[in-house]
Amino acid sequence: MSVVTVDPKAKLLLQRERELFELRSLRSRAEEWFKALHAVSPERFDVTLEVQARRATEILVGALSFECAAALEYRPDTGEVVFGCAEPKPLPAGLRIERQAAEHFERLGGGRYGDEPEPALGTLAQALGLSKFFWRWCSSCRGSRFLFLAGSSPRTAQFHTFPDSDREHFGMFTSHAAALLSNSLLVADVRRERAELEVANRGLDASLRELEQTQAQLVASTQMVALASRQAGMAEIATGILHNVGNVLNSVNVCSEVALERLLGLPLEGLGKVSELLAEQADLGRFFAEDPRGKKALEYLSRVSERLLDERTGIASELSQLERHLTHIRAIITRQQAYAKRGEAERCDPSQLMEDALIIARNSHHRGSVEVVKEFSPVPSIHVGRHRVLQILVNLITNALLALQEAARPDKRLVAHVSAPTPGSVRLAVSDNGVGIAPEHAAKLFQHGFTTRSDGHGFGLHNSVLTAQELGGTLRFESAGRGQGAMFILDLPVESPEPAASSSAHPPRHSTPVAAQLDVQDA
Amino acid sequence: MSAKLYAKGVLSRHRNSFEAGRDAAREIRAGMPAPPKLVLCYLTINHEQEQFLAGLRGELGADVPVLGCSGQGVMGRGAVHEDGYAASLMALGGPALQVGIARASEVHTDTRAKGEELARELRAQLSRPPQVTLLHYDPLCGVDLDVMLGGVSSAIESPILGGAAAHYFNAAMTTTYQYFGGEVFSHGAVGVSLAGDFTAETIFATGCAPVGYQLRATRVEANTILELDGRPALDVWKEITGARGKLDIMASSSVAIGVPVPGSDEHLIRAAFVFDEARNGMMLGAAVPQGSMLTLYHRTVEDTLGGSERMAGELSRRLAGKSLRAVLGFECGGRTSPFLGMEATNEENRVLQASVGAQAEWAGVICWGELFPVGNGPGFHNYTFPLLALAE
Repeated sequence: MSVVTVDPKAKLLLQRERELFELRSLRSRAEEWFKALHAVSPERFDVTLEVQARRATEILVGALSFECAAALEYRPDTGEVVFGCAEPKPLPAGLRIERQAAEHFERLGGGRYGDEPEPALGTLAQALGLSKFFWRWCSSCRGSRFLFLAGSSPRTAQFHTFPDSDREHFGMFTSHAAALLSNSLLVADVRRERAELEVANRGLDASLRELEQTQAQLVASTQMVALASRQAGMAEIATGILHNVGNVLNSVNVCSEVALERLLGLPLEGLGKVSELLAEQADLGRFFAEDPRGKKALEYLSRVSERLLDERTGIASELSQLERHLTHIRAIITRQQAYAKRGEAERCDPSQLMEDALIIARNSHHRGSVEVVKEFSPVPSIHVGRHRVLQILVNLITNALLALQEAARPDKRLVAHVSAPTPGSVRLAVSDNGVGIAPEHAAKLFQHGFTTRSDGHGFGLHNSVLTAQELGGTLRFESAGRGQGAMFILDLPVESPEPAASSSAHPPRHSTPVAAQLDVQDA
Repeated sequence: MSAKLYAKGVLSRHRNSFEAGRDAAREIRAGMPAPPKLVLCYLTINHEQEQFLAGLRGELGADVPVLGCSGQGVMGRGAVHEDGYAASLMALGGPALQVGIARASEVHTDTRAKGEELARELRAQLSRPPQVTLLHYDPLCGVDLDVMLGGVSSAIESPILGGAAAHYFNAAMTTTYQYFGGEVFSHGAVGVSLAGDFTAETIFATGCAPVGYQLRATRVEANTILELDGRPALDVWKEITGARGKLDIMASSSVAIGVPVPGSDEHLIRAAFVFDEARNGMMLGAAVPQGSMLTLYHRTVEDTLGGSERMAGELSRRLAGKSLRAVLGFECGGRTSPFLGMEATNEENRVLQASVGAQAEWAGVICWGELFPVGNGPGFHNYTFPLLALAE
């Protein structure tokens, strides 16, 4: 049977089938692109630029049938390719992007090379061995450019006439890939910064540990200094004791020597001769009356008798003085024994403390012609470590005596002050009109190790100010300058502070007493 | 009982062509107890064809026969690939197998004579009639395949299967490749005949349904139809399909042309896949006798997949009790990615492979025209899916 007319329904069916076939083909290709888009997206976003670029090129030549694909990062100003990977063959060595090509990329952003070859891209195409390719230019987060290429060499270009839909999908795919590459760079930056921070943190930790060690060493050093200061103070007191006892012993020696000399000087040899002469005489009456030797013997005996009486008196006097000196030594030792106990606060009379300090210091140093004046006002008793206050006061009095000793003036004067500046505090001060304190020394006076004396050790005032702080008080000084004398003022609370406040675990900074002193100076 | 027929299939996605060929050869050698007597090779056109063959033969040895063709895609155990770089190989060997190979050049000229010569050459290498002959050729050179099949079948007495070489599915069809040894060429044909003490089962599936629309080929030159119903063929085809502008594969792949088989109610399914704008004609894979009444078919996914399922069932039934060694598939490129899509294509093949024989080696090519016997002679078809199963 011959068919001469077209069945409209069959024709419509065939047309719909054709349209459906084309749609299926387009959908199939679109599905490949969307699968590729999904495949290029990493499950984790910490992949490197290299891995991400490699993945994109593998997909382009694997799932999307391009013969060749490449991903480059280059600097548009120099054309230098700083990174690149390609499938299935690596990029040619020394590949560069010509300026004209870079400008072309910059201007258009994406396109197709091959159907009507763009001269600006010819060099690049030749270098890559491509005759047809899609390209896409994208900015990177570090100022460079990403360039994606996918296409065919002359060998396979005849087989690949990629439709415009492929070009659009390529643009979408590579834009996504470029964003992932930039993300990789950012992730790398974050990783690097994190690593730097970790290194810095480790350094900081090390510094902190070092600081802690230094702090511990400082604490230990301070404790050692405090101990040394205390020991120095104790040594000073001990020196005072020895000096006091030594001074007394000098007197003891003098007394002993005088008594000895007197005993040795007694005219006992003549008495022996007189005694023998008298023994030879049968008639002592006649001898004394008639014999001239008898008369001389009587005169001699009379003189010896007078002499012995005098010497007995003198020797008795020396022995009496010797006894007083020994009593003084016992008193000094007894007094020091009273201060031998440490760290125990007790109720003390500030005036008595000053008296005791004066006695100790007085016997430690020759006062010469120093006038000691006591200006004691009525004050309440204080609850304090007796020996610690005494240690400060002995140090201050000793320093005053030394300052007076150095001074050339005749009217040397030391004044011991006891007063109550406020209801809750007591002031113990020692002033002198000695050599004074030079302004350049004022700031360093309380510093550890500072001294102006050749035989000084620089512990006394430093330890004194620390002790004063530990006792809850302050120590400061006033001086109008060199040759103008000085006054050291110890203010103590009536009641001793809480133990924590007097703890020496964290001693006050050295600047604290200096600052206090400076405040006084400024005032 | 030891096997008399060995087979090893390889499916490769390696992108370096030489290394891909080399690695495939190593896989073949590792998977066979003895060197193969034949390696069938199918590649996508992204591969550097010569490089692949060089890698393959360098590892196998130049004395191992290698032949095949480029394809729109390849199939293997578990997957069909039409994208990027892919290769499928089937190596055959064993004491039961005899192999004859031959090639022909420029087959669009002196076609019958070259077909006869090719067949004689194949037959001469065998001591017994072949169980089956495989043929691959260049469908774009203008060869009238019916003529060539006539020549081949006149000189060799076996079913002829195989398919036309192809390349990536695209609007333009340009060049296909055939492989023979290390040689890569176009406009040719390669053939292999298999003989021996084994079973060769052949079967094929279709997927078309007639729409009740017929027209007559009123002027034909060889396999190019110049007029339909007395009008220029391309004008009629555009009118039928609704296509505008330049015709391409998209405008023909949805429509199948049923060519009547003399003395039968059946049709040979053909596709018009090259459009000659200069002559206003459309070229088919084989000649259509002038005056033939052509019946148009449309293609449906249901028919396509249903045909595959029926084929799997039938082949399994035929192979019952036998040890299936290898299956070679020659699926039409008009069925796969552009019609079914790759997901459905892969599912179709997975189901087919699981049904026919999960342990058998599997290889094949997506081609542009399939060969399968119809009636008492060889036939050329489109939109079909022939299978060759080798068993003991």
